Amino acid sequence: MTRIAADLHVHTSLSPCASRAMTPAAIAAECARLGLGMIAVCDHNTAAAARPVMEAASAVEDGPVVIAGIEITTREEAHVLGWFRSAEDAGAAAAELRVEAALSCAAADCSLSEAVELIHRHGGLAAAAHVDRRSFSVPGQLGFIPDDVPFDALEISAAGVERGRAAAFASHGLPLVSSSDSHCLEDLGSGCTMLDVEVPGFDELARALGRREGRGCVIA
Amino acid sequence: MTLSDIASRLDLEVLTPELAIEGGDEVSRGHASDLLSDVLANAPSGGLLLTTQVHMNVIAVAVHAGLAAVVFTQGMRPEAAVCRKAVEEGLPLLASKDSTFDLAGRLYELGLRGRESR
Repeated sequence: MTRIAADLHVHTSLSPCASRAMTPAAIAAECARLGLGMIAVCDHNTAAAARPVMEAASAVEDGPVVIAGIEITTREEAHVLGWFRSAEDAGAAAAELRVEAALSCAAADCSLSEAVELIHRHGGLAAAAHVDRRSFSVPGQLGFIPDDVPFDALEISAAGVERGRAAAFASHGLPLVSSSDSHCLEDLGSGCTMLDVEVPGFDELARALGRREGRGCVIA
Repeated sequence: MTLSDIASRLDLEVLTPELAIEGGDEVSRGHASDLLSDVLANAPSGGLLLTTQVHMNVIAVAVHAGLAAVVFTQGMRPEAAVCRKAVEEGLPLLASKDSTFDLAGRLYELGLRGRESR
């Protein structure tokens, strides 16, 4: 078992709100320099950048394992992260959101429950994004985290971890992760989750979040 | 002004006919927000909530905040399960085709005000 640093919420220049410098090659090089073992590409309502980042990462020495993800804006304007086994699975899930590329930060026509169901239907893992933040978080939009939505994890922002806000979310009984929500290269790795896994990848991420078979995860 | 007066003067549709709204307490305050964290923090107890937020959580939040009723604006309608939960909790739900801005203006004309300034 090895312990790796994972940054499970990284935007690329495909997100309109992200820096144009967030190209696949630049992300791959910076993550290798930082020693990140795994990242998840989570652009707003699209997974189109996942494969290019995977290819860039495999072309770099010590490049991270790249998980294909999406950050869905639900009808309630809450952000939900989906992590998938493959770029194809992520792409199929994103296609169902039918959000126009030019409006990729807009809300998809699906509720919070439907978004989590959609992610699970495509074999993915669902996390409520940056639950410690007021804007675009499930607690911010909905007052509290509904207990009938089967999240696989709750994400605490890097700033939230720094301010000691993670403990407030422990009572949900869900694994807590922290990630950078990077929109620029400088932020990569600023929030991290340490994963105890055999081989970095989606299946091991699922085991680590479920704390199965000796795998585990802890906020860095 | 009671909830039933407001409903009839502003032509609000009652989504929870199982709950009687006649002869209730006077309603003198209101709050307009789609952010339920803001409702928890700022809505005046005993007031009306105007919102386009139709998620189930609106019921628990409104009950916790001690609101008199929730009015869904600009034609937004919650699912039946939300109405059933509201009936269980004794929280009247109403609906209006007006925008939140217009409905708040009409309520202001009827004498309702926002939360007391802090």
